[in-house]
Amino acid sequence: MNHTGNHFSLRADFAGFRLRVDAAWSAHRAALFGPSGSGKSTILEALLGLRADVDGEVILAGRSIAGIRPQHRDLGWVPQDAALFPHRSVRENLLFAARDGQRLGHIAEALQLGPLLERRTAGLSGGERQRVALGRALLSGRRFLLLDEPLASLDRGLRKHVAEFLLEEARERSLRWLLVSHDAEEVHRLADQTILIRDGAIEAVMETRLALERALATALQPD
Amino acid sequence: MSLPPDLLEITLRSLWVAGLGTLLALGPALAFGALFARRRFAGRLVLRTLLLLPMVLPPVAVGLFLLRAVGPRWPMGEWLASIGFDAVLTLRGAVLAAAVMCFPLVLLGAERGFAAVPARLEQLAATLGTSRARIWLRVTLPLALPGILYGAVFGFARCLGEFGATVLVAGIVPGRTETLSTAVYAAIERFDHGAAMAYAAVSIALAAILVFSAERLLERAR
Repeated sequence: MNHTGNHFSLRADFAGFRLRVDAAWSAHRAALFGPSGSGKSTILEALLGLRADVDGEVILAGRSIAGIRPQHRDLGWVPQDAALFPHRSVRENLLFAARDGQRLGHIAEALQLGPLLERRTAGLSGGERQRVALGRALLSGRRFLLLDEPLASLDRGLRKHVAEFLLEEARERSLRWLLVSHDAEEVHRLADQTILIRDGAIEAVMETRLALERALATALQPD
Repeated sequence: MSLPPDLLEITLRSLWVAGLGTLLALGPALAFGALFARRRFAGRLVLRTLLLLPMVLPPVAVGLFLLRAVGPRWPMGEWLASIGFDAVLTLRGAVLAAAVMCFPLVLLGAERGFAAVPARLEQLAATLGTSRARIWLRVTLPLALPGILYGAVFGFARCLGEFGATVLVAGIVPGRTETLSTAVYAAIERFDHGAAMAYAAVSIALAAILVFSAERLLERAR
């Protein structure tokens, strides 16, 4: 167990699926990489304290958070479906739990959300929703983000731009994250270290380049 | 045909009784609606059945039980009288009867509203450090509002049309407890069909407006 870095040891039994995962990593920017259905999102939700059906230990950024309520884990979450508040405008979503509202302009500009600020979220495209969810997490001031396929709905040009902005934020604000993805390109851009997962079990934790090579070599690369 | 001189007074009294009755039902309906939408627990079905019963029981039977409960000859009625709450043959009784009779509809609306709130949004708010109370106020309640309002508007309409329980508990005291529904009955009894038609017409118009508003509300929320 690495008490200065990050570690989780989780177990759960679902109908037709067994989760037994144990992983430790040290990089500030890491990824959980594996095919769909391998348990990635379940792990993320367990780290956030949202899964009562998953037992285990969680240490993130050297802090043991198992048993702590989600409100007090100090983790930012960008779910795959964005989970925007439909009764609030884009601006209100971004500022929902903002610690520093003055950064709204900067974040909105960087994520190209400026013209959308007064709109309701109902009519937003998938990519727009994902950028609002990212902005909300960044404005929340959380230093450890759990990102579930954060670039999946963005078009190619925007992916690169948003990834660069995220990396810039990470450098300037000492952000850490654990990224969940089944997209090798996304993982390559955003993670220094990668946890390979398959069928509810950890296969390896290694530097991202090596992990992706291994994933390719063992045909782990998903559809 | 001239309108009955007390039409406006009775209409306003009916709206007042229906409004208070709905408000009285709203608190417990929100609590039980959230409970039924979110929790599975032993006795849930039995409790639901009991709470929904007023919707299907003969209103006059509900009125009889209410009279037994709050009447001066019974322990609870004695206690209520001792604290100055006299329900029998008073407007308070009419409000109480209306609240009990509209409760199931308000409850079903609230339950429907809470069931429609995605748990994921509440979870996300929690991860953003929002306290449970604030999640309830800023996420759960606003998202459940269309269902709650739908139930409340239908409940209000039900209160306006309430007759059986009201007539047993509050009676038909002209100038004091007479509502549109009981006024229709009283007018028929004294063979004043013109007045009965006028009271009934106002009832129908109000009911139509309320049902239309509730449906429009739901349509807009979709």
